[in-house]
Amino acid sequence: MKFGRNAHLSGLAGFVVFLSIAVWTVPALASLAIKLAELDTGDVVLQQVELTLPAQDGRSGGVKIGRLKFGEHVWTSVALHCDQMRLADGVLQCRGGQLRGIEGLESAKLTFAVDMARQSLTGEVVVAGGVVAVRQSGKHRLTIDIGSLRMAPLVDLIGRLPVGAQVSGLLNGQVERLGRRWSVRLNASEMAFSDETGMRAAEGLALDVNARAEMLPDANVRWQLKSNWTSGDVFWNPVLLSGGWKFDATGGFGNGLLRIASANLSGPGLDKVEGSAEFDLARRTVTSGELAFNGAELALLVPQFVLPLLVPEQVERWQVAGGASGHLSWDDGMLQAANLELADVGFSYLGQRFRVGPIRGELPWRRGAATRWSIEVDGLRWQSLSFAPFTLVADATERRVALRPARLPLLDGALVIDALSFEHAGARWQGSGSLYAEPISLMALTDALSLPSMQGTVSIAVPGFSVTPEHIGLDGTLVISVFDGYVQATRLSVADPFGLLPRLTADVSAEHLDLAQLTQTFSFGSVSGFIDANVDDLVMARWKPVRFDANVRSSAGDYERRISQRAVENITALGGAGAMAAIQRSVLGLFSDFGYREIGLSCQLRGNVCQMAGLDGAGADDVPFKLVAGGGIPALDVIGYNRRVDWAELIERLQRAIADGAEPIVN
Amino acid sequence: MKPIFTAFVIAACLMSPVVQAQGNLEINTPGISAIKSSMQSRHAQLAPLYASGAVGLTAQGTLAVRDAKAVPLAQRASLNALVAAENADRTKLYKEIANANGHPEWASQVQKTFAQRWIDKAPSGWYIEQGGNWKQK
Repeated sequence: MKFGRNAHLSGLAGFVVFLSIAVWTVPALASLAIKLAELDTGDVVLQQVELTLPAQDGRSGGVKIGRLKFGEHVWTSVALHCDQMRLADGVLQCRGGQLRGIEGLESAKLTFAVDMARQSLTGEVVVAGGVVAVRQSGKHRLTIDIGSLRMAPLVDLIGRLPVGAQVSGLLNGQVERLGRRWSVRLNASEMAFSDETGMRAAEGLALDVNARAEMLPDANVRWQLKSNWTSGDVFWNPVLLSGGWKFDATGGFGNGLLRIASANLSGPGLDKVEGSAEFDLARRTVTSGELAFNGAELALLVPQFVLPLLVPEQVERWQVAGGASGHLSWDDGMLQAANLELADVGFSYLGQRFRVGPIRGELPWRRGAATRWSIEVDGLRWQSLSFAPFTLVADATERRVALRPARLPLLDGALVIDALSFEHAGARWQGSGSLYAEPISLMALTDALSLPSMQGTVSIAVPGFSVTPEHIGLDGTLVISVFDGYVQATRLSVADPFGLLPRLTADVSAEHLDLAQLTQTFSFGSVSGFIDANVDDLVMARWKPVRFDANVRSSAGDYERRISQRAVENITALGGAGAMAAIQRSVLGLFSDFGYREIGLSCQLRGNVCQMAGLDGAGADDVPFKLVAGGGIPALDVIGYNRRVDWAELIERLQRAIADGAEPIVN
Repeated sequence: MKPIFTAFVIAACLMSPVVQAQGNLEINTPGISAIKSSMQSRHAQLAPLYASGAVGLTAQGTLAVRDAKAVPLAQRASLNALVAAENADRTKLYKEIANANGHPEWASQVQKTFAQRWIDKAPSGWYIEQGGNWKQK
């Protein structure tokens, strides 16, 4: 008996109907072989099928299948051998059934019975250490019970894993079909998987899944899902997730659209996420949807989800605290609105070096419309400098956030951000703006920074600056009024400000600094007069100078010019012990101070070496050069003897001179 | 392991063709010291990862996660961060050496030189990248 090549039957029910027609026509005791060219049940296609019934009930029989296709899988030369096969009263029974030709099922033991009249099937497969029991009644009822099924051979059976990938675990549960309704209850335990490199892996997973689906007459599907990931860890590079997550959802599917009518997600660090959405599966877009979350603990979620994605090399450097809630909505395939509420959020970088918070505020965003952000910042600390609480208000549009003028109180003054806006362009954010400082007492500032107390004020005027995560640049001039003169920095730029190796470049100049105040502040002895200074092409790496061309000169003008014995000693000591011995042979010890005509000193720093020059300009190495030209009575020249000085050693000597100067000195 | 690390850096620097060409390569700026210090402090964490084969040395003078399975699952995110941080430092180191010597254009040559020296000086048992494949020394 042969069916045509294009004969199609409807699943197992069709197969049973076919058998009942075929078998009823032959005598019970005769050996029977039935051949089919092709049996297509939709998902399963069998070709060259040969069913052999035993001549006597209880003897062995079997089925041979030349080619078996299930989904994308194809097996050839498949055979089912039953130790005992029986056909009686329209019931075909197989005991001790064994399959050959299907890898993964070769050790499986099958027992089944097909009732032709009732069109029912009961069967049991002992496979992969577990049992799969199948019961089908008529065309509409199917139950599959799964008990302690090991996943590794199951995965082998269903589909090959990539080389090196592994799956293990136990599966229990039930799949039921009643007419158009399907329900699945599955429990996976002791589950683990890994790809070849272990960058996508899980261990100790325990997972419960309850799903229901109903095929509607209009070809749509209505479904609901409840899942509970109770324990275990998943590492999906670069995110590590631990169990404790629950996800429930209901929705539908049809016409290429996946609809989530309602969904709830909760887990460690996230109290609740609720949402609804419609996905266009072909376009892979959210056509419409709403999502709201609350109870987000940023201390858990940011290091887990945000930092590994944004700045994996700095995960350990940032610390985040506080909570957040928010809302997102999509329409026309695009995100249309978002709202983020921050509750006592704080973050710090490299311990306490940079710390912000607590912050409270609301950050709404609308596509094609302006919104206003309002943020209260109760604390901002950089190094040992603390800002008083302040409020930031910003206008946000689609790709731009513009801060309204903000006053950040600092010590007895304030930093005023005149303008600051951030724009998203070229897949990155960059900011620009201008700022100035209301005069801040330099004494308060130096005290706060644990620096020697200085008189004066800091005034900053920066008409333009730009900020990116990798760079801060100032277009204007930063001015500090100090020691009755002022110091100004231009072309100020900091590369990698938040990285390991911040690099500052600038040109610095100072005019008319009062040497008396300067030397007193640093306990360097006493020098009266005024100086001008230039530090051109300054490069600092990690806040230490690595290159500059510095030049210090007496200011022009008529003023008293005296230098104390102690100051001469300290200046000379910077040249080393040899220089000190030379000076001691002079008249230094006879007077407490001396007159001078001019001070001049330059240092070109290259590769840790300061190439020095004095009033007489550059010359050959080790040729004495004049740093202070004497004048008046008594007068004394201060001479340098070594033009090439190790920078670190020079700083050490300077620090030693300042430290010594802290002691009482009798001039 | 720190002496080994330091030896790597010095050996890599001194054996560099750049050094041979210039005679004196500056490797002692504050920036380079900062990077070396950062790398040294990380090396104690990286050493067992080299030994276990979790991390290997690439032909580009960086590190790569070769077999994360050698590390407990709960530590694999840290492993990633550690490798990313080390690579960020190494990239900065190569640039900084070139900059410190007044030749930013040397950066790629410095990187190539270091890459080869890291591999040459790696102890046996560590994994190195050769011809696009991992090989155990």
